[in-house]
Amino acid sequence: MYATESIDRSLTRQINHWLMATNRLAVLENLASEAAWQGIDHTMEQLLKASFKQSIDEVTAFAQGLKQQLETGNGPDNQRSVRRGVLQLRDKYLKAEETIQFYTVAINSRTTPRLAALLRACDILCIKSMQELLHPLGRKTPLVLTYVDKGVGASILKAGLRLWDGRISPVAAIKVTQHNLYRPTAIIHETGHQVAHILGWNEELALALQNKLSGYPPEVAQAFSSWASEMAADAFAFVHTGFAAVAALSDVVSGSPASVFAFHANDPHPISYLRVMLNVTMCREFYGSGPWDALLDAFKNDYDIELVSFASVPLIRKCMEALPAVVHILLGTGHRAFDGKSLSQLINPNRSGPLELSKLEYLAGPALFTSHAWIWKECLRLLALNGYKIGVGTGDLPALYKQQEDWMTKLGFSVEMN
Amino acid sequence: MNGVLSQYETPFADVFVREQEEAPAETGTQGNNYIFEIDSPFSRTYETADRDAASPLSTGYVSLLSELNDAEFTETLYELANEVEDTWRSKVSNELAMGSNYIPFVTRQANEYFEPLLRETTGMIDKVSEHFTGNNLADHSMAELENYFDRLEFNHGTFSPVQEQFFGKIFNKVKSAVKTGIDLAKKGVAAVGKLLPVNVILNKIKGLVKPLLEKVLKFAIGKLPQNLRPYAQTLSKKYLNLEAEAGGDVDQREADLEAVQMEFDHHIAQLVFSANESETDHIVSEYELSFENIERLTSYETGGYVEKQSYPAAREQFIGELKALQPGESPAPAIEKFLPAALIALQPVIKMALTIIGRQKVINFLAGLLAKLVEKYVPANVAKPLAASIIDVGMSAIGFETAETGKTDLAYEAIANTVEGTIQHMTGLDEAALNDQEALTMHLLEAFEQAAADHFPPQYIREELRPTKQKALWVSMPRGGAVKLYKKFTHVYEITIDPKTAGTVKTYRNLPLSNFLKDKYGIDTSKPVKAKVHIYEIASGGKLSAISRFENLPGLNARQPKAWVQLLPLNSEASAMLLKEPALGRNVPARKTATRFRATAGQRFYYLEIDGARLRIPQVKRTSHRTVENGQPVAGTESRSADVQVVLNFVKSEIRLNYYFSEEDASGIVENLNKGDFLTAGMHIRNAVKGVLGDILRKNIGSKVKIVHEAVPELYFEHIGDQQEQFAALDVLGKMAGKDMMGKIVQAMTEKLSGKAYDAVVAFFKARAAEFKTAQAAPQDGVTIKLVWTNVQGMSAIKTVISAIRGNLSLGSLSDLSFPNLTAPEVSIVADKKFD
Repeated sequence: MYATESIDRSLTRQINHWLMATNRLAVLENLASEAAWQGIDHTMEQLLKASFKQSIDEVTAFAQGLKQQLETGNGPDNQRSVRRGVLQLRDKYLKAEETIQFYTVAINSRTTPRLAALLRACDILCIKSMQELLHPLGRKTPLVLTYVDKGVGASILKAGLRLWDGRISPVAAIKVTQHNLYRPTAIIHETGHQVAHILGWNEELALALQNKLSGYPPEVAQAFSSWASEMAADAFAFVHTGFAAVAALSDVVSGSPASVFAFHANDPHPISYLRVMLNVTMCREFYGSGPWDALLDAFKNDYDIELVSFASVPLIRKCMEALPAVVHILLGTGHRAFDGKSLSQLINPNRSGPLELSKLEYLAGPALFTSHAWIWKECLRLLALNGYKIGVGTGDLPALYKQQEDWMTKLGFSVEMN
Repeated sequence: MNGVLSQYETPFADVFVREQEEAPAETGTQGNNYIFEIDSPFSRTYETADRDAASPLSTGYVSLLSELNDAEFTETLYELANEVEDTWRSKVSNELAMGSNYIPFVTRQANEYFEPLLRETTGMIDKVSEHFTGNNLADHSMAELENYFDRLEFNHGTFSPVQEQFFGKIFNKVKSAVKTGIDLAKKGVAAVGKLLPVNVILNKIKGLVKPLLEKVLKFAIGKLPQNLRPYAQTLSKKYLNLEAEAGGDVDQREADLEAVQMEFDHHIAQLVFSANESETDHIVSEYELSFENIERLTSYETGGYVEKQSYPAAREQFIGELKALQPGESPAPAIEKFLPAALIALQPVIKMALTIIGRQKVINFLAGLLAKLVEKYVPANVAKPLAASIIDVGMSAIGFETAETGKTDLAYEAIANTVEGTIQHMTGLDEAALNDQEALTMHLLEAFEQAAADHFPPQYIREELRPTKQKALWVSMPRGGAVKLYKKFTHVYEITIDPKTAGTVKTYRNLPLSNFLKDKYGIDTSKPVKAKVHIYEIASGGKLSAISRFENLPGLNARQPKAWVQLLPLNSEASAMLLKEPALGRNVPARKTATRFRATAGQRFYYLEIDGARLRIPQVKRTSHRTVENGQPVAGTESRSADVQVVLNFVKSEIRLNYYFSEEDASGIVENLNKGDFLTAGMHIRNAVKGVLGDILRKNIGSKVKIVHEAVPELYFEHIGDQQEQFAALDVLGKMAGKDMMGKIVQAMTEKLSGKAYDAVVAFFKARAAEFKTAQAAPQDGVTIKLVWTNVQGMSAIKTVISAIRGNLSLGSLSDLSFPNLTAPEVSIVADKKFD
């Protein structure tokens, strides 16, 4: 009898504990400040809050049900059932917390009005990049929440994916790294993942690579096919931002030789060495010769394939032969995902090439970086232009970063205020 | 009465109105016994014999008025009212339930908000006043003055963009007052008489700021007197020895902030031109008490009718009384009780006429008719399915609360809306129609048909009367609030706007929709644009900003700054072209759509929800005063669209024409200029100047042409009333009505001017395009091309004619009157929108 009571008390205590924790979780202002919430798009705020509420309501309802079961039922079977339920409750709570925490941490990264404006500019860049592809294909563009975090590379939690708590992610959450905040071409790589997911391009591309590279050794076709999703995202960043994306990528992957030549069987990322080669090939195929040649020379000098003996070297050598063909499949071949058109037909990479960028600069004049009309209309090409100049690496580089910061701030402030 | 109704086919599809015995007491003939005349104390001519209308004082006075007048000040006051409303909106769930505590509560909240603004603004005036104390004004040059004001620096970091804007606007007005003071001082006592020292004047102007803010609060709570505009217009006429008809036009009676500015400016001008301190004290106290005086006048005009309760309270009570009716009980008494408040709120025309012919009898008559028309829907067993149908029709667009389902409230609300709509639709009623029972009945039945079709579910309405093909109706909003501020149409249209339609549909001041989409959202209108269209109607006491405050759509919600500017007027043309539903549009006089600040009850609007579209609020500094902090400039104004202004300055024989190119338009021109594509650049300029800007000017002569003339203190043609007492004897002018003649003169001058202006703009671009490029590259929003013609030959002759038309001079021969001969103007370019 005594044991039954103590078990009941213990179960009640645990249910209450998780219930109280859930109640605390429900006060979203505890997790992200009012000011931080105001730094994001209103519709996004509503979507997220509605999603959080559903998640919390589910945990609460489950806890209440257990409480009732414990109060109304009796006997060891009931206790056992409730005990199992408590474990489930604990698990549900932790998953809900993980989900909510993820987004609120992201929202909280908008710590000051200025940083919030910069991140809103990133949101706009992301949305515009996707709209340009999705709109002509009659698809809706998801909302994007960018947030700033430490680390080397950007990442995305895609809209439409299942979250920790089992709910569907209502918005795309894209991490922009601190070091690349004023050179954020990587976020366009991430939106490339999102559009490929929406359009089902990854699967189609993987198959196309497998089939169309049949003239190369099977391991080459197999490797490129397994890297389809990352190459798709690279191609998307390239068509929007040209050499800027290539230079930024090169800087990001330029780690130790071991990491540059590393090959992991299940990694969707191409071997970094090959990835830089692939991106430079994209530039060459569309723009001819240019500063990417110098970039590649320097890269090859830093990571001389003749001087290393990593296991990946033979595969790299074989794959290099296929790079022009891969670029053609990525950018010049029609795909069902694009209604039979090629990516470069839908988004012309030449618009972000050196010639067109310099033409843009000439035609807009000094207003290009100050006029809100130009900034809004051409923000993606401004990203390409600034990134191009930074990528070339000559001139007043700090001034270029400042220019990037200034127009992004203008862009971010122009759509919403804190 | 039922005899009349028996021949009338009701709008309802399922109802046959039974014939009943006529109720004798309610339907007496409206005979002459209701007619009585009131000699309003304001309906008289002001005569101040000691002032000479053509003196330097008069010209100085109207010049100052012109300088003080700033279209953007109205916008600032509107936004200030919105922001002050924010201070209490979230704290008040039911203002009707608060009863008499509501006003004191919101006043306390507003005062807290106003306090720093008042402190800083009056502090600024003190600072300026201190500088000019003891100084001999005549010794100051205008350059010194400009320099002094340019150097002044302020530090009020916690201000919102709107507060900063208000501060800047008052700063400009103070500067204008000081400039005029210096100008007068230079002219000397002999020319202008004794004038007060500028520091004394500034001290008095300071006293106007608090009452001004109180008037803004009145606007925010819907308590701005409706006849403020005609009242404000009399102020300077009195001063300038002009005929003053204080009653004003009935159609100009609207609670608007333009009139608040007008009144404020007139008081500043009067202070500047005051001869002694006791006069200034009188001016300030008159300003402080003006609303009370106007209210007293209104009460007098309406035959002593005093608003016993607010209209929303009366409406709520009416709905409550309908709900409480017992089976078989007539709704007539409830309608009778409701109608006076509805008439006061919705039909000032009828209200004014009713003071003469006898309010109660007309009300009884109308109530009797309306009761017969709606009584079938009042019993609970009929109301319940009606309410369920409304929920069914509107659920997806409105999202009714669970609490509303299963109740009859929505049915009674629909009946109240129908009665209200009937009153609203009874336009064009004059005294004769109100006296004619048959005419009145026909008016009412026609209005009722329209109102019932709007507010009852389609299946209740005869098919040919339904205003829409959709299964939809109008529902009062916000659902959660006790006071209904607007109505929403329950169908959301999904449309594609092709480039031609975007270029044809006109929005405010005749601006094409394509310009709006391009300027506000940066949308490329050369491609089709997909949009969801949400439709609204302003309710009595509602404002455009109330819609955005309570809607929760992407881009149109309480969090989006300036969201309300995205609501565009839905007239039948726009409705036909965009929705293929002409009957959903509501046509209003052109002056109502000349600016966004004249929205009144019954007017309809639409909002385009476009995927990814974001209203742009460029961070540019729009005020001229300097602030200490050098951070991000605060801005609360959306990116502007093309606009134009003409100033006909008869005092200086000068004409100014300002063309404003939006940032989008300006960047397009610069792009083509840089491309060396002068043909396309030229076409852009031609389309802008001769097309869009020319069209705006042609269609808005009344509001876009500022007239600086001592006989026209109204400044704008549209502000001039129609009363012929304001004009000279007509036969002198060849039987042409005075206002018409003035209109024709202004129109002819403007047309001639536009042709010359285009030539000047083209010549300018040929020679000085680089200046335009530089201005466009500045961080401001858009570019203004300013054209100035000075010493215009022939303006003085027209000046004399206008004086004669306004009855100030005898008119000589008109045969030699010709329009000014315009030579090439002086052209300058400035970044941003800079109107005079």
